[in-house]
Amino acid sequence: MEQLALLLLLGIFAFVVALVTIAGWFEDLESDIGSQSNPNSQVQLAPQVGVFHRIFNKAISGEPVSHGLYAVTAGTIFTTLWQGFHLTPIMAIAIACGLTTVFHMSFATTAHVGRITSQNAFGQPLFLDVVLTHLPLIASHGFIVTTAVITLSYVMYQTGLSQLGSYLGYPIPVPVMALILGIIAGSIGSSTGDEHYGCEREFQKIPFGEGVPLKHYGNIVVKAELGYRSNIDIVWFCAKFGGPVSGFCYGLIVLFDNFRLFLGNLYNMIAVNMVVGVVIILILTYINRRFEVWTRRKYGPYT
Amino acid sequence: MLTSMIMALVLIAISGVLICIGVFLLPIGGAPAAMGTATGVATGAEMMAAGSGLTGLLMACALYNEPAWVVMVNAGISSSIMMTVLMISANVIYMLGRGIPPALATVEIDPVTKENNKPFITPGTVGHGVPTGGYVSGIFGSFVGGVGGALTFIPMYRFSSGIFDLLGSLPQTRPDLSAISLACIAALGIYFINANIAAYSIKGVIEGWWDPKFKQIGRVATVCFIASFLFGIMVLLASVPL
Amino acid sequence: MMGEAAKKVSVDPRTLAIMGVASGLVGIYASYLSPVFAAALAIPVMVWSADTVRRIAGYGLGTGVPSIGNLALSMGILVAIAGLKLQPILGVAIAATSGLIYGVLISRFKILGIPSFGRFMSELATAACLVCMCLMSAVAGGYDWTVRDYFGSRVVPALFTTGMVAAIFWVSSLAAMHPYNACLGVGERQGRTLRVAVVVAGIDILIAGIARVGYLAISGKGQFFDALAIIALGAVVWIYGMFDFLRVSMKEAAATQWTGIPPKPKIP
Repeated sequence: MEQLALLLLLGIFAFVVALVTIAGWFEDLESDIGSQSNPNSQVQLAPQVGVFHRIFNKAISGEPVSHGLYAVTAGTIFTTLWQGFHLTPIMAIAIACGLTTVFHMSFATTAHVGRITSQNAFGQPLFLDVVLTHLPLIASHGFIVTTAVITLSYVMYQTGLSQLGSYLGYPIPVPVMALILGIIAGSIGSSTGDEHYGCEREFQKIPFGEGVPLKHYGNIVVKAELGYRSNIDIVWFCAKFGGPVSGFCYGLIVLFDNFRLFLGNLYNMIAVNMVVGVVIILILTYINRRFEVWTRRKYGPYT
Repeated sequence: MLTSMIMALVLIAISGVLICIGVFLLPIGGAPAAMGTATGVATGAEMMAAGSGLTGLLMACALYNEPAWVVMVNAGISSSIMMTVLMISANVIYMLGRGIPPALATVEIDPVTKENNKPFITPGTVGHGVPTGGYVSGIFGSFVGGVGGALTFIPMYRFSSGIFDLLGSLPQTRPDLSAISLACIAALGIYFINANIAAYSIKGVIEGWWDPKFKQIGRVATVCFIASFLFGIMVLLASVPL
Repeated sequence: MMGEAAKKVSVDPRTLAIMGVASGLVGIYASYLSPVFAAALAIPVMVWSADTVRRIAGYGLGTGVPSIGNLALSMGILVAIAGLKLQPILGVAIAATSGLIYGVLISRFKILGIPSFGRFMSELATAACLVCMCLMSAVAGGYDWTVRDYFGSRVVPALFTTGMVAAIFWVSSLAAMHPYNACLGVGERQGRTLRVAVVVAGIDILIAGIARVGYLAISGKGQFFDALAIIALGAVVWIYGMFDFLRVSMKEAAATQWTGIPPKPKIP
């Protein structure tokens, strides 16, 4: 294969993996700045057990659904601007993601105001400054995720339909591809990063080294280092560990998948695809097993 | 052409059953797992199945003109890779971020490694993390789910492009974009219909093949077969030129 | 939480159902004149689907509300594709029947214990199918019954080749389940929930209008007037609905303050 084409493909490959790492990272941080998905059940439960808070209760369904929504809306506006009005892709991406952020903020406001108002029987007050100070932060984190996902789907679509399409790239139209990538980003961020928020940051008063028993449910930490805790304190903490691990996870998935596809297409043998895939799964299972044994030996049984 | 259509209907119905089995094998913890109170990955059941199955669907779209068995196996392996990396990342956060070793709760001895899990469970919880038994179960579950998604994609894509040969490789070099869109939406639809039935019966929390809830699989698989057959008729009506 | 009594209502569900079916069918057939009718008459159908989700989820599902929205729209879009290929009235009939069979299967095989699940699923599938058919024909330029193959010649280039059918699928799913999920709680009231449904319906119509602008620009047909009318209608419904919802919520919250410290916990 030609030298230049190979270099171009390797460059696209590296770019795609970098974009998807950023998408995964900020997807988790976006769910921490607005308290979405699974740990949000504790924020919902807190007023019922008498713990009142100043946390933004953004309950737009689960993360896969909401990130699919932002991605598909941005994808539609992007297709309109790029294929319809022939704007350059960078301008189209910026305008599409900007408009999507307005919809995002509208959904976030209805969710928080709706949930807090429905807890009026317990006496949880509705603080308007919580709504107004968190909305720009939610918008900015969501903007980064949406931009990364749309750029990724555009790059993959163009590569898939070009002359290099037999080597790399997926020939799926941009809105459908953005929907799929958004749902995958949401399910990854929801399974990995949410645990750092839920186990560790929400229940920091429970000692390190144990899970959270059911009797502590609803008793979340509401006071911060100075004053009452807001989502800004939460995202400051989770950006140190939970966010990067989620980004790393999504990056590794796309890396392994595209590596398999690239190798198989390069050598024109389907067996390479399957063998590389099985080898990766076996190595990771072995690493997990060693990790589990090491943890059990280091931490010991519960005392 | 009629035999192809009937075979496609049966394939779509089988894909529904496979998706349902995939959901039963995944180690899902739901909302309690995010707080370290239940074993498994901390997402909802049908969203986890959809997330892992869609990674397989991407690979199926990339290999659109290969023979059917190649597409199915590769889609399954893609889904497995996604689930593998995800479960190990979840374990990294549990072990290094919170300091809890993985442990099962429904049985005392891990089915794969034959180790005793009981000393490591925090009292008051129903297990935490993704132990090796759940890990292996998750690999099989996502593989089966990925194969199921590809089994819907293949007949839908071929019928929408006007090809009635379901199993061989295709001579196309440029993909038919509208056919890919229609096949992806159909696969998404069949995914959600079947994963929801399975999620309702397990009430959102399951550990693997040793969990007592796994015994319901016969009943649920029958319902999924009939429901996928029914909606498969609708989906094929859309793709076949009348 | 299973087996709770049915929720209190201020608008009768039967009225909503009849209004939904009527406006949906009128919307599709009247869109022969202009796609604005299909887009505008999709709003009552979306409010009806949000109300159905509210009634189902009140019984306690165990997996959460978002799964119901995806389930409804998956059934809806698959049947809507068939309906646009044959006839919209047939599509509605097929949706009602398949939803009924699906719901009866689930309750007969004892997977869920919700009473009259067949009727709920039938309503949900019909509402989803009508929303999808209305929005798809709005983007494709109105349901034209004089063309021989409407689906292949109008809908496929507009929605499937550009890929915008995914947007209609997903935002309609949010329209069904976001209202109840956003207002979940002990003090949930149907009036506020349906106001959120109007807000999300406005956003949906706005996105369908943008998709129509995109299709017109890509296929080079020009004449954006009906698309701009759909966008304007969506924006008006969205913004008015948002202000109305915020006004009602701020009146009904336990305490609306600009800023402050949360009160002391009642239980030590």
